[in-house]
Amino acid sequence: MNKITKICILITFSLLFISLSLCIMILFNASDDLTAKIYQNGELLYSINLDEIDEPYEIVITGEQGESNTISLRPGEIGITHANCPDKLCVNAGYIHNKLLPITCLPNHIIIQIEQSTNVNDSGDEVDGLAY
Amino acid sequence: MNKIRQLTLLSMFTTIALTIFVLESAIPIPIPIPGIKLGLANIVTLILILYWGFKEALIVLVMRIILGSIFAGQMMTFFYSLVGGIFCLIAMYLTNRILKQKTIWFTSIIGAICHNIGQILVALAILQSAYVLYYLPFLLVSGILTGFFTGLGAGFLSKRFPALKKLYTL
Repeated sequence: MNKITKICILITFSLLFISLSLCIMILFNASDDLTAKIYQNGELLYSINLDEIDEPYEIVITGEQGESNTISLRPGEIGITHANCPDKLCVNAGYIHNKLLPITCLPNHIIIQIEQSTNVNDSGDEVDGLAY
Repeated sequence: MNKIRQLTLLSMFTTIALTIFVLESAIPIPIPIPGIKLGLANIVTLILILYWGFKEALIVLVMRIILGSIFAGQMMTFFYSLVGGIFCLIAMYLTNRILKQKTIWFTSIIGAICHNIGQILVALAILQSAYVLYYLPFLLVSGILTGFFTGLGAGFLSKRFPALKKLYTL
């Protein structure tokens, strides 16, 4: 085995190690007080606080070209339970409950992203005295 | 090389790549992350870069992606495949130049990684959300593994088919 091969193996394993540790960080990072945001074409359609769900319910989102996704909400979790896209990747992603991995439906342009809830009282959108 | 021979060879390689691409799209992937696949059609691109040239590999790649999107996929996957494929091609070409046609599996891994980076860039542009970056580590792990095996595949192929090495002299 020559030097170049050794360097190649070294680079491969370090890249694999880095990406694997990033994956593990993403999968095992959970927190609470979360809000699910449902985007279609980059537009925010719904913003739902996952901790305030008492009864499971469903939302149906339709698109311009007949796309349709059924989004199910359970206490602390959100997922897509039915979609008319061909690959069903979004349905197979199951329910998500942390802010790291979004559910994405590429054919229907839908992203469900969980974010940390911001406190309603100190509304971040308005300019406050400090900004002046 | 005369024009007719060149045209015939390019169409033949496009056919091989397209067949692999369509067959591969019928294999279900048990991981719910968009963008993960085996990338077997990359063997053809790799062989062309190794033994023919950049331009020929680009022609076969673009033809395969256009026809493949028509035969096997949705048009949405077209942009992901195209940008990823071109990133992959450029990266593999440069790596191959540096490594002087040795350690083909490593060239393939670099190609797969750049393919994933290209896909994520398209996803960033289309979906306008930085959160798709969270997919990148998962794509990279799968890219390194599948890239390694497709690279080994291309290596075995060139060993079994020494005639491939004389492609550019035909």
